[in-house]
Amino acid sequence: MSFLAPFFLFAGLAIAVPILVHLRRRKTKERFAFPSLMFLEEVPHATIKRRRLRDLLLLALRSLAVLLLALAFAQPALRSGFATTGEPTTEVFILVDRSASMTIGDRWNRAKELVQTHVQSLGPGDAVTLALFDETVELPLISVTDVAQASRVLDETEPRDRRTLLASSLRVIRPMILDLLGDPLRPSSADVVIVSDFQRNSALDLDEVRLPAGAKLTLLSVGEPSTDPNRWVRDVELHRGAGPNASPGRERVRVSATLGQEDAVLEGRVRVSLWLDGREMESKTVTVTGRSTAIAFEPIALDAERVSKGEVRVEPDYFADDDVFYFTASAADALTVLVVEGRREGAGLFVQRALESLEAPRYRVERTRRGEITTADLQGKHVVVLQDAGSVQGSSAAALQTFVEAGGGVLVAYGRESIGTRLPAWLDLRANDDVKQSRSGIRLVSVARDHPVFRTLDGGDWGSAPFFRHFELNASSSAPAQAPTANPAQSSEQGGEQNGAQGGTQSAVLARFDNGDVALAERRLGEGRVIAVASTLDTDWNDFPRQGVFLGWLDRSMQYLGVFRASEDSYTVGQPSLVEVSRDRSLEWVLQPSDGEATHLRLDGQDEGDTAVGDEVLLNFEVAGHNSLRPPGTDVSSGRWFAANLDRSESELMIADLAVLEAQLKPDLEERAVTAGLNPDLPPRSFWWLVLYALLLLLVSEGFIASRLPARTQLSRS
Amino acid sequence: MTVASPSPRPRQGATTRIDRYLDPRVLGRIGNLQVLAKTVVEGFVSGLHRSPFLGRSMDFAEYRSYLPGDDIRQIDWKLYSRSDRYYVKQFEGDTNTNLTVLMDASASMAYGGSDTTGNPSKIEYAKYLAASLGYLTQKQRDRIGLMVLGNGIRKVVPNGAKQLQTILVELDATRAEGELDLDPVLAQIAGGIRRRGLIALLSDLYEPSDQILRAVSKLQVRGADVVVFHILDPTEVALPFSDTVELEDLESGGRMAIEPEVLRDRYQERIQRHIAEVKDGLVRAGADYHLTMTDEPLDQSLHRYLSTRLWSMKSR
Repeated sequence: MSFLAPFFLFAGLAIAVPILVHLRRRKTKERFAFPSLMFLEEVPHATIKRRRLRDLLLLALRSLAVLLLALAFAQPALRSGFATTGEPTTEVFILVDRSASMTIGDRWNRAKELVQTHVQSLGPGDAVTLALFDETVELPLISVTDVAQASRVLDETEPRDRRTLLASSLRVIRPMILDLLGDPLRPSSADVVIVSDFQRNSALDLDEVRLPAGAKLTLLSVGEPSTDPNRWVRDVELHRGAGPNASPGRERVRVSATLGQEDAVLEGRVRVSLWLDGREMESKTVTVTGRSTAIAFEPIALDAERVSKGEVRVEPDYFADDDVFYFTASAADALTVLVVEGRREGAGLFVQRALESLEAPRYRVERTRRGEITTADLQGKHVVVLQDAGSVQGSSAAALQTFVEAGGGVLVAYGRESIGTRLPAWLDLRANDDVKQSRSGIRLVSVARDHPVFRTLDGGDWGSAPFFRHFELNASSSAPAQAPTANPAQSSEQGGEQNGAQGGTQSAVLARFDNGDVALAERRLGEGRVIAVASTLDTDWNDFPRQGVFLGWLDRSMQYLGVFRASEDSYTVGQPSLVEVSRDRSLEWVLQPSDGEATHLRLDGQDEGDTAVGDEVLLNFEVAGHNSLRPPGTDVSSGRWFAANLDRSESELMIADLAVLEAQLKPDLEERAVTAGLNPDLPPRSFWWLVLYALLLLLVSEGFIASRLPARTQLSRS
Repeated sequence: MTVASPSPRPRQGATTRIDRYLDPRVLGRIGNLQVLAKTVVEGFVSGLHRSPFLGRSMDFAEYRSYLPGDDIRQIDWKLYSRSDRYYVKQFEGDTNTNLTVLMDASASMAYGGSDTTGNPSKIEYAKYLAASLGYLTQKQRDRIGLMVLGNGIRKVVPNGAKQLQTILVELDATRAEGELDLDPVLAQIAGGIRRRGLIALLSDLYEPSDQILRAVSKLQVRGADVVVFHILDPTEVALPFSDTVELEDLESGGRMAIEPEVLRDRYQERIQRHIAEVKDGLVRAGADYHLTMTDEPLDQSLHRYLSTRLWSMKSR
């Protein structure tokens, strides 16, 4: 036995403390003359002796407690096999790959046979821990001696639509092996058996999960190289604006797909087809060359009112799970924008053209000259852009206020028309009516890059555009924006500085000029948002619209003000996916693949893997295909459809070199050198925790014995 | 040692002066047994508002025929004139009583003392009591005797009407030492009894109760009326030690380390049972028993003695 921290053994000298206390108490015992011990001797003398014994026992326990504490801190370690009890046994950790690639041919059946053969070779007393892994790990059996259970569990298991990640399983079993080999009371050896097809790209991040020294590794492969290359549909994209719409509410969309194949050298022809709602829309034979090949289908018309279930299929090969790519498609939601301009003709034209040039989302833009803004004008609009619009007063201001309070957005840009004109107080963020001028132009700095209107535009050159004239805005506080909002997820994401009171006067700084003036500011009113720009949104007062970042900023500003979130065309199985559901209708939901079993969910953020924020929840799709999410008791067809696909990294079926893999997984020489001092094969078995357990038990005993002694009472001399 | 010091017990109906003179802690300062005894008895008697010649009864008891040797002054001449016979008048008080004080002076009686418990030691208290009894007895013209017990019968002062001075001298010289085994000692005393009388046993009675009863019964068999003053110090009943102590037996010299907290209840239970057994046994046997604590005023003990004596005379 050795000690990993022997210095702490000196703490054992503290044992002198209870002994000294005991001796001191003994010395204080006084002697008195007493008339007769007759009656004292008649009292059961064992009591006195027992008390004396208990005192000694307490002394011993307390001294032992001090010693154990010092011993525990010194971290005693045993060489393997030393001071252990019982016959050495073997714990076999069987790691079985159940990823999608195990469905190829008879890989799964061979894997089960290999496991069965291996467990039959185990001796009595050996235990089995079974880990089923893909990108996640499940441990249906942990250290069971009935090794036949492993085969029974595998008989009831099927591969899943998941990719393989060997490191995930090793990360789980590594601490278990360390515990096993470090247990001084249980002499054991650890065998790690991995049964897999050992795809090359499954062996990622293995450096962190090397097996502990002393564990024996066995790799049982069921993968075999195929003469035919695996081909798959890598990705599908929807290109909107593919032509004039057939009718209102419908949209023409072109579908393109990317095909992948393993062997970059091979070239072959393969048949690819596009299916929509169960109907084959188009089929063609294409030549696949290199690692990936892009193809495009003829435009299809999508309905805005319903979601179509689409598939791109490639000719089936020996790995069928990646031959279909599932997606959903519908006519894209459009953001409707009303651009209001002042007397300067064409002031809003630049904004209108810029928005109409965007595809996702599409924008329907109406432009109007200054005049009366009625409730009818605002009907169906998501955002109003006041581009150098001049004065907005009276009923127009009231209608606009109602619009914003109900959740609408307003983008205010000040220009020459704003000079001497007034906006309602809730809308006007100018500090005064003075126009600041700069001959060489001032630049944008201090952009709140974590704000949604700037996010993902990090690479943009915001400081290149000169601003020659601008108004000074009065939002200048440095506090972060915490305005109330209907969508907590979005409000919590906001960056920027904040100023003013709650409600209609609260504002946050989104960007500043290099002279310190506020360039962009945001204000909340009710459910809606207002963003003010200190200068024009055309080139009248600045060159900002000429910059490459302008279109992206405008697009994100419109989506932010219009509270727009584009829906995804497809998701990946096993990856947490944020989807939007109307949780007002129900907390209980059913997720059901089109040809699978329904799963009941409670989307209140309480279940594992379900993070509910506002109307968005984080879902894990378990099965590739079209999944219907609906309230319980409703028809499958009435649900909202989501498409989920197998992670395409699973399609890479190249087999890893097992010798290299084994070398990757075995302990490195450095680790061996560290443990060589105690045992060349096994790590030192530190049993400090056992000492602590003993200490805990001892303290409990001491407390029990001490509590049985009567409390000392001190009589005072009167 | 830390002891719980009992406060003096108040006496109902007594004056402050009497209280003061009868408090054993005050008496301990007097030093002279004779003065002490006189103080106690006079104080006690004046407190009772009774004649100092209590016991010398002037009541007529009977006539008996004159016998040679009788004092001719006691012949009732009027009766002689009527009956022509010599008759002698007999009065109650004329029947002298023997009081023999058996004082335990074994080593265990040395326990107590003002330096430890605040009360007189048991031997001192026994001396006060014996002296007071002697003084009172002489006042009543009874015959008083003393036997000091310890390692057998250590001293004997025969009964007599004028023995008080001798008794007081002997008491003053008596020290608590040695051991005492009551049974053979009382058996020896019983064998020497020639005249019925009253025997007062002053002892802490550290013997098994059956032995005590057997020893006392031997006195009773010889016609003696026995009154037992069981003298104990309050602390030896209460065992008020607070911490681990080692106790040394005053008689045997044996030592024992004890945890008073552990033993106290059982010890108290045991000694109270002993007291109850002795008391019940003595009362059933016709003896008189008085548990006397050394913090008790002496007049209470005298009162008990007097009660016993009157009862003894009336029952004769």
